[in-house]
Amino acid sequence: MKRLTVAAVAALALASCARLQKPNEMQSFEGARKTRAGEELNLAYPELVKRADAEHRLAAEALDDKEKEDLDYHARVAWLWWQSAQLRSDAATMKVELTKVEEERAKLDKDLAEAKKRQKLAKASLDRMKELIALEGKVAGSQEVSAAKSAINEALAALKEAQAVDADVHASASFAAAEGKLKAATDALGKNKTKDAVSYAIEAKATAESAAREASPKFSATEADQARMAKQRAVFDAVGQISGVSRSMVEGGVQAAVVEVFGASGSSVNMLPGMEATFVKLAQTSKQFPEYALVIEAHTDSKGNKTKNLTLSESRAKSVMAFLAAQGVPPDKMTALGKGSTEPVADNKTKEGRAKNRRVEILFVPSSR
Amino acid sequence: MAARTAKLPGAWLVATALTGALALPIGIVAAGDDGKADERLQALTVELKKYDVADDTHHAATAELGKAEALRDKARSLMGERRERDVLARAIDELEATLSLVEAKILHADAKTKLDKAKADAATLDAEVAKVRGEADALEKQQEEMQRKIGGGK
Repeated sequence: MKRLTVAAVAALALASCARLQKPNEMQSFEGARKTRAGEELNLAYPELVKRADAEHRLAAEALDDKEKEDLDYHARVAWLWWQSAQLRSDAATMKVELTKVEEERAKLDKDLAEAKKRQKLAKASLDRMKELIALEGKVAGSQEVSAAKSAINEALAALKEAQAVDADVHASASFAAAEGKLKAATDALGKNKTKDAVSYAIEAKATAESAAREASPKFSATEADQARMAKQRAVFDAVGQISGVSRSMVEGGVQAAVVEVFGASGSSVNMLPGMEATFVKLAQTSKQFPEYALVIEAHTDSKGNKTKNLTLSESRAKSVMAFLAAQGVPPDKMTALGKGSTEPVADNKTKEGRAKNRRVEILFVPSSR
Repeated sequence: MAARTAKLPGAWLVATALTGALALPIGIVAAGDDGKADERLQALTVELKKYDVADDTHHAATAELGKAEALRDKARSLMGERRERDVLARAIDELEATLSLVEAKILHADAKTKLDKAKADAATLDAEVAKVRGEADALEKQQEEMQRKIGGGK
Protein backbone atom coordinates (compact mmCIF):
# COMPACT_ATOMS: atom_id res chain seq x y z
CA MET A 1 0.00 0.00 0.00
CA LYS A 2 2.81 2.33 0.95
CA ARG A 3 4.61 1.54 -2.32
CA LEU A 4 1.47 2.34 -4.28
CA THR A 5 1.11 5.70 -2.60
CA VAL A 6 4.74 6.57 -3.28
CA ALA A 7 4.32 5.60 -6.95
CA ALA A 8 1.17 7.71 -7.28
CA VAL A 9 2.86 10.74 -5.70
CA ALA A 10 5.86 10.30 -7.99
CA ALA A 11 3.61 10.06 -11.05
CA LEU A 12 1.78 13.23 -10.04
CA ALA A 13 5.07 15.04 -9.49
CA LEU A 14 6.29 13.94 -12.90
CA ALA A 15 3.08 15.01 -14.56
CA SER A 16 3.27 18.45 -13.01
CA CYS A 17 6.87 18.80 -14.19
CA ALA A 18 6.11 17.66 -17.76
CA ARG A 19 5.94 20.51 -20.28
CA LEU A 20 2.73 21.17 -22.11
CA GLN A 21 2.85 20.39 -25.78
CA LYS A 22 2.79 23.29 -28.21
CA PRO A 23 -0.47 23.42 -30.16
CA ASN A 24 -0.17 22.87 -33.92
CA GLU A 25 -1.09 26.51 -34.61
CA MET A 26 1.81 27.69 -32.44
CA GLN A 27 4.24 25.36 -34.19
CA SER A 28 2.98 26.50 -37.60
CA PHE A 29 3.31 30.16 -36.57
CA GLU A 30 6.86 29.72 -35.29
CA GLY A 31 7.84 27.83 -38.42
CA ALA A 32 6.43 30.51 -40.72
CA ARG A 33 7.47 33.55 -38.68
CA LYS A 34 11.22 32.93 -38.75
CA THR A 35 11.42 32.50 -42.52
CA ARG A 36 12.38 35.24 -44.97
CA ALA A 37 8.77 35.25 -46.21
CA GLY A 38 7.67 35.77 -42.61
CA GLU A 39 9.87 38.84 -42.29
CA GLU A 40 8.57 40.18 -45.60
CA LEU A 41 5.05 39.68 -44.32
CA ASN A 42 6.00 41.68 -41.24
CA LEU A 43 7.21 44.53 -43.43
CA ALA A 44 4.05 44.46 -45.54
CA TYR A 45 1.52 44.10 -42.71
CA PRO A 46 3.29 45.32 -39.55
CA GLU A 47 0.09 45.93 -37.57
CA LEU A 48 -1.29 42.42 -38.12
CA VAL A 49 2.04 40.70 -37.50
CA LYS A 50 2.54 42.82 -34.36
CA ARG A 51 -0.75 41.48 -33.03
CA ALA A 52 0.25 37.92 -33.92
CA ASP A 53 3.64 38.36 -32.22
CA ALA A 54 2.01 39.75 -29.07
CA GLU A 55 -0.40 36.82 -28.84
CA HIS A 56 2.44 34.40 -29.51
CA ARG A 57 4.46 35.90 -26.62
CA LEU A 58 1.48 35.36 -24.32
CA ALA A 59 1.15 31.80 -25.60
CA ALA A 60 4.85 31.19 -24.84
CA GLU A 61 4.35 32.54 -21.30
CA ALA A 62 1.33 30.28 -20.86
CA LEU A 63 3.43 27.36 -22.05
CA ASP A 64 6.06 28.13 -19.41
CA ASP A 65 3.37 28.51 -16.75
CA LYS A 66 1.69 25.32 -17.97
CA GLU A 67 -1.60 27.12 -18.41
CA LYS A 68 -3.19 24.96 -21.10
CA GLU A 69 -6.32 27.03 -21.61
CA ASP A 70 -4.32 30.26 -21.97
CA LEU A 71 -1.84 28.53 -24.23
CA ASP A 72 -4.55 27.27 -26.58
CA TYR A 73 -6.32 30.64 -26.63
CA HIS A 74 -3.27 32.80 -27.40
CA ALA A 75 -1.85 30.31 -29.93
CA ARG A 76 -5.23 30.30 -31.71
CA VAL A 77 -5.56 34.09 -31.80
CA ALA A 78 -1.92 34.53 -32.90
CA TRP A 79 -2.63 32.16 -35.78
CA LEU A 80 -5.77 34.11 -36.75
CA TRP A 81 -3.78 37.36 -37.06
CA TRP A 82 -0.99 35.59 -38.93
CA GLN A 83 -3.38 33.96 -41.40
CA SER A 84 -5.08 37.30 -41.93
CA ALA A 85 -1.75 38.88 -42.92
CA GLN A 86 -0.80 35.87 -45.03
CA LEU A 87 -4.05 35.85 -47.01
CA ARG A 88 -3.88 39.60 -47.59
CA SER A 89 -0.35 39.20 -48.88
CA ASP A 90 -1.45 36.41 -51.23
CA ALA A 91 -4.34 38.58 -52.43
CA ALA A 92 -1.94 41.46 -53.12
CA THR A 93 0.34 39.11 -55.09
CA MET A 94 -2.66 37.95 -57.12
CA LYS A 95 -3.58 41.57 -57.82
CA VAL A 96 -0.13 42.19 -59.25
CA GLU A 97 -0.45 39.03 -61.33
CA LEU A 98 -3.87 40.20 -62.50
CA THR A 99 -2.34 43.43 -63.79
CA LYS A 100 0.17 41.40 -65.78
CA VAL A 101 -2.54 39.10 -67.16
CA GLU A 102 -4.58 42.16 -68.15
CA GLU A 103 -1.56 43.63 -69.92
CA GLU A 104 -1.07 40.33 -71.71
CA ARG A 105 -4.74 40.34 -72.61
CA ALA A 106 -4.48 43.84 -74.06
CA LYS A 107 -1.61 42.61 -76.22
CA LEU A 108 -3.67 39.59 -77.30
CA ASP A 109 -6.56 41.90 -78.23
CA LYS A 110 -4.16 43.81 -80.45
CA ASP A 111 -2.77 40.59 -81.95
CA LEU A 112 -6.30 39.39 -82.65
CA ALA A 113 -7.24 42.65 -84.36
CA GLU A 114 -4.12 42.39 -86.54
CA ALA A 115 -4.78 38.74 -87.41
CA LYS A 116 -8.40 39.53 -88.28
CA LYS A 117 -7.27 42.33 -90.52
CA ARG A 118 -4.79 40.06 -92.32
CA GLN A 119 -7.58 37.51 -92.72
CA LYS A 120 -9.98 40.11 -94.09
CA LEU A 121 -7.38 41.47 -96.51
CA ALA A 122 -6.41 38.06 -97.83
CA LYS A 123 -10.03 36.99 -98.19
CA ALA A 124 -10.99 40.15 -100.06
CA SER A 125 -8.02 39.79 -102.42
CA LEU A 126 -8.90 36.15 -103.05
CA ASP A 127 -12.50 37.04 -103.83
CA ARG A 128 -11.30 39.62 -106.35
CA MET A 129 -8.94 37.13 -107.97
CA LYS A 130 -11.52 34.38 -108.30
CA GLU A 131 -13.15 35.83 -111.39
CA LEU A 132 -9.78 36.29 -112.99
CA ILE A 133 -8.78 32.72 -112.19
CA ALA A 134 -12.06 31.49 -113.69
CA LEU A 135 -10.95 33.00 -116.99
CA GLU A 136 -7.77 30.89 -117.08
CA GLY A 137 -7.88 28.66 -120.17
CA LYS A 138 -10.92 30.51 -121.55
CA VAL A 139 -9.01 33.44 -122.98
CA ALA A 140 -6.30 33.03 -125.57
CA GLY A 141 -2.73 33.44 -124.35
CA SER A 142 -1.91 36.40 -126.57
CA GLN A 143 0.37 39.33 -125.74
CA GLU A 144 -2.67 41.58 -125.34
CA VAL A 145 -4.19 39.21 -122.82
CA SER A 146 -0.93 39.14 -120.88
CA ALA A 147 -0.85 42.95 -120.84
CA ALA A 148 -4.46 43.05 -119.61
CA LYS A 149 -3.71 40.49 -116.90
CA SER A 150 -0.69 42.50 -115.83
CA ALA A 151 -2.77 45.71 -115.59
CA ILE A 152 -5.44 43.86 -113.58
CA ASN A 153 -2.75 42.52 -111.25
CA GLU A 154 -1.49 46.02 -110.60
CA ALA A 155 -5.03 47.17 -109.85
CA LEU A 156 -5.41 44.23 -107.46
CA ALA A 157 -2.24 45.23 -105.62
CA ALA A 158 -3.42 48.84 -105.39
CA LEU A 159 -6.76 47.71 -103.94
CA LYS A 160 -4.97 45.56 -101.40
CA GLU A 161 -2.82 48.48 -100.31
CA ALA A 162 -5.85 50.71 -100.06
CA GLN A 163 -7.63 48.18 -97.89
CA ALA A 164 -4.56 47.95 -95.63
CA VAL A 165 -5.27 51.56 -94.56
CA ASP A 166 -8.98 50.76 -94.16
CA ALA A 167 -9.98 52.59 -97.35
CA ASP A 168 -13.06 50.34 -97.47
CA VAL A 169 -14.12 52.13 -94.25
CA HIS A 170 -12.61 55.62 -94.45
CA ALA A 171 -12.98 56.16 -98.24
CA SER A 172 -15.77 53.74 -98.96
CA ALA A 173 -17.14 55.45 -102.08
CA SER A 174 -13.79 55.65 -103.86
CA PHE A 175 -12.92 52.14 -102.78
CA ALA A 176 -16.24 50.76 -104.07
CA ALA A 177 -15.67 52.57 -107.37
CA ALA A 178 -12.21 50.99 -107.69
CA GLU A 179 -13.67 47.56 -107.01
CA GLY A 180 -16.36 48.18 -109.65
CA LYS A 181 -13.75 49.13 -112.21
CA LEU A 182 -11.68 46.06 -111.44
CA LYS A 183 -14.75 43.90 -112.01
CA ALA A 184 -15.40 45.68 -115.31
CA ALA A 185 -11.78 44.97 -116.31
CA THR A 186 -12.13 41.27 -115.50
CA ASP A 187 -15.47 41.09 -117.36
CA ALA A 188 -13.91 42.77 -120.39
CA LEU A 189 -11.03 40.31 -120.37
CA GLY A 190 -13.55 37.43 -120.22
CA LYS A 191 -15.08 38.81 -123.39
CA ASN A 192 -11.63 39.09 -124.99
CA LYS A 193 -11.94 42.89 -125.01
CA THR A 194 -8.36 43.32 -123.89
CA LYS A 195 -8.10 47.05 -124.61
CA ASP A 196 -11.16 47.76 -122.48
CA ALA A 197 -9.77 45.47 -119.81
CA VAL A 198 -6.48 47.42 -119.67
CA SER A 199 -8.35 50.71 -119.64
CA TYR A 200 -10.64 49.66 -116.75
CA ALA A 201 -7.72 48.15 -114.86
CA ILE A 202 -5.72 51.39 -115.09
CA GLU A 203 -8.75 53.33 -113.83
CA ALA A 204 -9.25 50.82 -111.03
CA LYS A 205 -5.64 51.23 -109.93
CA ALA A 206 -5.81 55.05 -109.98
CA THR A 207 -9.10 55.07 -108.05
CA ALA A 208 -7.71 52.63 -105.48
CA GLU A 209 -4.62 54.80 -104.98
CA SER A 210 -6.83 57.83 -104.55
CA ALA A 211 -8.93 55.95 -101.98
CA ALA A 212 -5.73 55.02 -100.11
CA ARG A 213 -4.61 58.67 -100.03
CA GLU A 214 -8.01 59.72 -98.75
CA ALA A 215 -8.11 57.03 -96.05
CA SER A 216 -4.52 57.25 -94.85
CA PRO A 217 -4.78 60.30 -92.51
CA LYS A 218 -8.02 58.98 -90.98
CA PHE A 219 -6.42 55.59 -90.49
CA SER A 220 -3.41 57.14 -88.69
CA ALA A 221 -5.67 59.27 -86.54
CA THR A 222 -7.75 56.23 -85.59
CA GLU A 223 -4.62 54.29 -84.65
CA ALA A 224 -3.35 57.20 -82.53
CA ASP A 225 -6.80 57.53 -80.98
CA GLN A 226 -6.88 53.85 -80.12
CA ALA A 227 -3.42 54.09 -78.53
CA ARG A 228 -4.53 57.13 -76.53
CA MET A 229 -7.67 55.35 -75.36
CA ALA A 230 -5.65 52.28 -74.37
CA LYS A 231 -3.35 54.49 -72.28
CA GLN A 232 -6.31 56.25 -70.69
CA ARG A 233 -7.81 52.89 -69.86
CA ALA A 234 -4.54 51.91 -68.16
CA VAL A 235 -4.69 55.08 -66.02
CA PHE A 236 -8.33 54.31 -65.18
CA ASP A 237 -7.41 50.76 -64.13
CA ALA A 238 -4.47 51.97 -62.03
CA VAL A 239 -6.66 54.51 -60.20
CA GLY A 240 -9.18 51.74 -59.58
CA GLN A 241 -6.57 49.84 -57.57
CA ILE A 242 -6.47 52.60 -54.93
CA SER A 243 -8.93 52.08 -52.12
CA GLY A 244 -11.04 55.06 -51.10
CA VAL A 245 -10.87 56.61 -54.57
CA SER A 246 -13.80 56.69 -56.96
CA ARG A 247 -12.94 57.04 -60.63
CA SER A 248 -14.64 57.97 -63.86
CA MET A 249 -13.73 58.40 -67.50
CA VAL A 250 -14.40 62.00 -68.40
CA GLU A 251 -13.89 64.02 -71.53
CA GLY A 252 -10.18 64.52 -71.85
CA GLY A 253 -9.01 62.13 -69.18
CA VAL A 254 -9.61 60.18 -66.01
CA GLN A 255 -11.07 61.70 -62.88
CA ALA A 256 -10.18 60.40 -59.40
CA ALA A 257 -12.31 61.66 -56.51
CA VAL A 258 -11.62 61.39 -52.79
CA VAL A 259 -14.11 62.57 -50.17
CA GLU A 260 -13.52 63.86 -46.66
CA VAL A 261 -9.84 64.52 -47.18
CA PHE A 262 -9.75 67.28 -44.57
CA GLY A 263 -12.60 66.25 -42.28
CA ALA A 264 -16.11 67.58 -41.85
CA SER A 265 -15.50 70.49 -39.53
CA GLY A 266 -13.02 73.28 -39.26
CA SER A 267 -10.97 74.96 -41.88
CA SER A 268 -7.88 72.82 -41.83
CA VAL A 269 -5.81 72.67 -44.98
CA ASN A 270 -3.82 69.66 -43.76
CA MET A 271 -5.21 66.34 -44.92
CA LEU A 272 -6.30 63.84 -42.29
CA PRO A 273 -3.49 61.42 -41.39
CA GLY A 274 -5.54 58.46 -42.62
CA MET A 275 -5.78 60.07 -46.05
CA GLU A 276 -2.08 60.33 -46.70
CA ALA A 277 -1.72 56.71 -47.86
CA THR A 278 -4.36 57.32 -50.55
CA PHE A 279 -2.54 60.35 -51.91
CA VAL A 280 0.82 58.57 -51.78
CA LYS A 281 -0.73 55.95 -54.08
CA LEU A 282 -2.20 58.64 -56.34
CA ALA A 283 1.28 60.17 -56.58
CA GLN A 284 2.70 56.76 -57.49
CA THR A 285 0.07 56.39 -60.22
CA SER A 286 0.90 59.83 -61.54
CA LYS A 287 4.61 58.92 -61.70
CA GLN A 288 3.70 55.69 -63.45
CA PHE A 289 2.07 57.74 -66.24
CA PRO A 290 4.40 60.75 -66.69
CA GLU A 291 2.67 61.69 -69.93
CA TYR A 292 -0.37 62.74 -67.88
CA ALA A 293 -0.69 66.08 -66.09
CA LEU A 294 -2.83 66.56 -62.99
CA VAL A 295 -5.55 69.12 -62.40
CA ILE A 296 -6.34 69.17 -58.68
CA GLU A 297 -9.71 70.58 -57.70
CA ALA A 298 -10.84 70.97 -54.10
CA HIS A 299 -14.56 71.34 -53.30
CA THR A 300 -16.44 72.23 -50.11
CA ASP A 301 -20.05 71.78 -49.06
CA SER A 302 -22.39 74.76 -48.99
CA LYS A 303 -22.14 75.42 -45.27
CA GLY A 304 -20.71 78.80 -44.34
CA ASN A 305 -19.65 81.79 -46.33
CA LYS A 306 -19.23 81.26 -50.10
CA THR A 307 -16.15 83.44 -50.41
CA LYS A 308 -14.50 81.77 -47.44
CA ASN A 309 -15.32 78.37 -48.88
CA LEU A 310 -13.71 79.36 -52.15
CA THR A 311 -10.56 80.58 -50.41
CA LEU A 312 -10.46 77.47 -48.24
CA SER A 313 -10.82 75.16 -51.25
CA GLU A 314 -8.00 76.97 -53.04
CA SER A 315 -5.72 76.50 -50.04
CA ARG A 316 -6.71 72.84 -49.81
CA ALA A 317 -6.04 72.23 -53.51
CA LYS A 318 -2.60 73.81 -53.06
CA SER A 319 -2.02 71.69 -49.96
CA VAL A 320 -2.77 68.50 -51.95
CA MET A 321 -0.50 69.72 -54.73
CA ALA A 322 2.33 70.33 -52.24
CA PHE A 323 1.83 66.85 -50.79
CA LEU A 324 1.98 65.23 -54.23
CA ALA A 325 5.05 67.31 -55.11
CA ALA A 326 6.70 66.04 -51.92
CA GLN A 327 5.98 62.53 -53.19
CA GLY A 328 7.91 63.28 -56.38
CA VAL A 329 5.21 64.47 -58.80
CA PRO A 330 6.78 67.31 -60.87
CA PRO A 331 5.07 70.59 -59.81
CA ASP A 332 5.05 71.87 -63.40
CA LYS A 333 2.70 69.02 -64.28
CA MET A 334 0.12 70.06 -61.69
CA THR A 335 -2.51 72.75 -61.48
CA ALA A 336 -4.43 73.49 -58.26
CA LEU A 337 -7.92 74.93 -58.39
CA GLY A 338 -10.36 75.83 -55.62
CA LYS A 339 -14.01 75.46 -56.54
CA GLY A 340 -15.62 76.25 -53.19
CA SER A 341 -19.21 75.05 -53.07
CA THR A 342 -19.99 75.97 -56.67
CA GLU A 343 -19.98 72.44 -58.13
CA PRO A 344 -21.89 70.14 -55.78
CA VAL A 345 -22.35 66.52 -56.78
CA ALA A 346 -24.96 65.74 -54.11
CA ASP A 347 -27.70 67.40 -52.08
CA ASN A 348 -26.24 69.89 -49.60
CA LYS A 349 -29.39 69.62 -47.45
CA THR A 350 -28.45 66.17 -46.17
CA LYS A 351 -25.46 65.11 -44.10
CA GLU A 352 -24.56 62.36 -46.59
CA GLY A 353 -24.84 64.77 -49.50
CA ARG A 354 -22.57 67.30 -47.83
CA ALA A 355 -20.02 64.58 -47.12
CA LYS A 356 -19.99 63.71 -50.83
CA ASN A 357 -19.53 67.34 -51.78
CA ARG A 358 -16.50 67.79 -49.52
CA ARG A 359 -14.07 66.25 -51.94
CA VAL A 360 -10.86 66.52 -53.89
CA GLU A 361 -10.93 65.64 -57.57
CA ILE A 362 -7.79 64.90 -59.50
CA LEU A 363 -8.08 64.90 -63.24
CA PHE A 364 -5.42 62.97 -65.16
CA VAL A 365 -5.12 64.68 -68.53
CA PRO A 366 -2.68 63.91 -71.38
CA SER A 367 0.13 66.37 -71.01
CA SER A 368 1.29 68.44 -73.97
CA ARG A 369 4.62 69.15 -72.29
CA MET B 1 -4.68 47.57 25.89
CA ALA B 2 -5.98 51.04 26.45
CA ALA B 3 -3.01 52.42 24.61
CA ARG B 4 -3.62 50.03 21.71
CA THR B 5 -7.28 50.90 21.65
CA ALA B 6 -6.41 54.56 21.63
CA LYS B 7 -4.20 54.05 18.58
CA LEU B 8 -6.85 52.15 16.64
CA PRO B 9 -8.84 55.05 15.20
CA GLY B 10 -5.67 56.46 13.66
CA ALA B 11 -4.74 53.12 12.12
CA TRP B 12 -8.23 52.68 10.77
CA LEU B 13 -8.13 56.11 9.26
CA VAL B 14 -4.86 55.39 7.46
CA ALA B 15 -6.10 52.00 6.32
CA THR B 16 -9.39 53.42 5.10
CA ALA B 17 -7.66 56.25 3.30
CA LEU B 18 -5.25 53.84 1.63
CA THR B 19 -8.02 51.49 0.57
CA GLY B 20 -10.01 54.42 -0.74
CA ALA B 21 -7.05 55.76 -2.65
CA LEU B 22 -6.48 52.36 -4.22
CA ALA B 23 -10.12 51.56 -4.81
CA LEU B 24 -11.02 54.83 -6.46
CA PRO B 25 -8.77 54.54 -9.50
CA ILE B 26 -9.59 50.83 -9.82
CA GLY B 27 -13.26 51.74 -9.94
CA ILE B 28 -12.66 54.37 -12.59
CA VAL B 29 -10.54 52.05 -14.73
CA ALA B 30 -13.13 49.34 -14.40
CA ALA B 31 -15.91 51.62 -15.54
CA GLY B 32 -13.70 52.82 -18.39
CA ASP B 33 -12.91 49.23 -19.36
CA ASP B 34 -16.59 48.36 -19.52
CA GLY B 35 -17.24 51.37 -21.69
CA LYS B 36 -14.29 50.55 -23.89
CA ALA B 37 -15.38 46.92 -24.22
CA ASP B 38 -18.88 48.05 -25.10
CA GLU B 39 -17.51 50.46 -27.68
CA ARG B 40 -15.26 47.81 -29.22
CA LEU B 41 -18.05 45.26 -29.32
CA GLN B 42 -20.37 47.78 -30.97
CA ALA B 43 -17.77 48.55 -33.63
CA LEU B 44 -17.07 44.88 -34.28
CA THR B 45 -20.81 44.13 -34.43
CA VAL B 46 -21.18 46.81 -37.09
CA GLU B 47 -18.26 45.29 -38.97
CA LEU B 48 -19.80 41.84 -38.73
CA LYS B 49 -23.13 43.19 -39.94
CA LYS B 50 -21.65 44.33 -43.22
CA TYR B 51 -21.17 40.68 -44.14
CA ASP B 52 -24.92 40.06 -43.80
CA VAL B 53 -25.40 41.25 -47.37
CA ALA B 54 -25.48 38.25 -49.66
CA ASP B 55 -22.35 38.07 -51.70
CA ASP B 56 -20.79 35.05 -53.33
CA THR B 57 -17.33 35.93 -52.10
CA HIS B 58 -18.57 35.76 -48.49
CA HIS B 59 -18.83 31.99 -48.88
CA ALA B 60 -15.07 32.01 -48.64
CA ALA B 61 -15.39 32.81 -44.94
CA THR B 62 -18.63 31.06 -43.96
CA ALA B 63 -17.03 29.10 -41.12
CA GLU B 64 -15.26 32.18 -39.75
CA LEU B 65 -18.44 34.25 -39.97
CA GLY B 66 -20.28 31.60 -37.94
CA LYS B 67 -17.50 31.64 -35.40
CA ALA B 68 -17.53 35.44 -35.27
CA GLU B 69 -21.28 35.45 -34.63
CA ALA B 70 -20.83 32.98 -31.79
CA LEU B 71 -18.08 35.13 -30.29
CA ARG B 72 -20.22 38.24 -30.59
CA ASP B 73 -23.11 36.49 -28.80
CA LYS B 74 -20.75 35.27 -26.12
CA ALA B 75 -19.33 38.77 -25.62
CA ARG B 76 -22.84 40.24 -25.46
CA SER B 77 -23.85 37.74 -22.79
CA LEU B 78 -20.76 38.60 -20.74
CA MET B 79 -21.24 42.34 -20.96
CA GLY B 80 -21.73 43.81 -17.52
CA GLU B 81 -20.54 40.66 -15.72
CA ARG B 82 -17.76 42.19 -13.65
CA ARG B 83 -16.37 38.81 -12.65
CA GLU B 84 -16.09 37.70 -16.28
CA ARG B 85 -14.20 40.78 -17.46
CA ASP B 86 -11.17 38.77 -18.61
CA VAL B 87 -13.31 36.28 -20.50
CA LEU B 88 -15.15 39.19 -22.14
CA ALA B 89 -11.89 40.86 -23.16
CA ARG B 90 -10.66 37.61 -24.66
CA ALA B 91 -13.90 37.03 -26.57
CA ILE B 92 -13.67 40.55 -28.03
CA ASP B 93 -10.00 40.10 -28.94
CA GLU B 94 -10.73 36.82 -30.65
CA LEU B 95 -13.73 38.36 -32.43
CA GLU B 96 -11.51 41.15 -33.73
CA ALA B 97 -8.91 38.67 -35.00
CA THR B 98 -11.63 36.49 -36.55
CA LEU B 99 -13.15 39.46 -38.38
CA SER B 100 -9.73 40.43 -39.67
CA LEU B 101 -9.42 36.91 -41.05
CA VAL B 102 -12.93 37.09 -42.54
CA GLU B 103 -11.99 40.24 -44.42
CA ALA B 104 -8.70 38.71 -45.54
CA LYS B 105 -10.42 35.55 -46.78
CA ILE B 106 -12.95 37.58 -48.75
CA LEU B 107 -10.21 39.75 -50.27
CA HIS B 108 -8.31 36.61 -51.15
CA ALA B 109 -11.34 34.91 -52.71
CA ASP B 110 -12.19 38.05 -54.67
CA ALA B 111 -8.64 38.40 -55.99
CA LYS B 112 -8.54 34.71 -56.91
CA THR B 113 -11.88 34.85 -58.72
CA LYS B 114 -10.76 37.87 -60.74
CA LEU B 115 -7.37 36.36 -61.53
CA ASP B 116 -8.83 32.99 -62.54
CA LYS B 117 -11.37 34.70 -64.79
CA ALA B 118 -8.74 36.93 -66.38
CA LYS B 119 -6.50 33.90 -66.97
CA ALA B 120 -9.37 31.93 -68.52
CA ASP B 121 -10.29 34.90 -70.75
CA ALA B 122 -6.68 35.31 -71.81
CA ALA B 123 -6.43 31.59 -72.63
CA THR B 124 -9.61 31.79 -74.75
CA LEU B 125 -8.30 34.86 -76.50
CA ASP B 126 -4.94 33.22 -77.05
CA ALA B 127 -6.64 30.25 -78.72
CA GLU B 128 -8.71 32.59 -80.89
CA VAL B 129 -5.60 34.53 -81.94
CA ALA B 130 -3.91 31.25 -82.93
CA LYS B 131 -6.99 30.16 -84.90
CA VAL B 132 -7.43 33.45 -86.77
CA ARG B 133 -3.68 33.65 -87.46
CA GLY B 134 -3.77 30.12 -88.88
CA GLU B 135 -6.70 31.03 -91.10
CA ALA B 136 -5.01 34.24 -92.22
CA ASP B 137 -1.79 32.32 -93.00
CA ALA B 138 -3.74 29.79 -95.10
CA LEU B 139 -5.60 32.53 -96.98
CA GLU B 140 -2.40 34.46 -97.65
CA LYS B 141 -0.74 31.30 -98.96
CA GLN B 142 -3.71 30.69 -101.22
CA GLN B 143 -3.56 34.28 -102.33
CA GLU B 144 0.15 33.97 -103.21
CA GLU B 145 -0.56 30.85 -105.26
CA MET B 146 -3.37 32.58 -107.16
CA GLN B 147 -1.18 35.62 -107.64
CA ARG B 148 1.45 33.39 -109.27
CA LYS B 149 -1.18 31.90 -111.57
CA ILE B 150 -2.58 35.27 -112.59
CA GLY B 151 0.81 36.84 -112.91
CA GLY B 152 2.00 34.02 -115.15
CA GLY B 153 1.48 36.14 -118.20
CA LYS B 154 3.65 38.92 -116.84
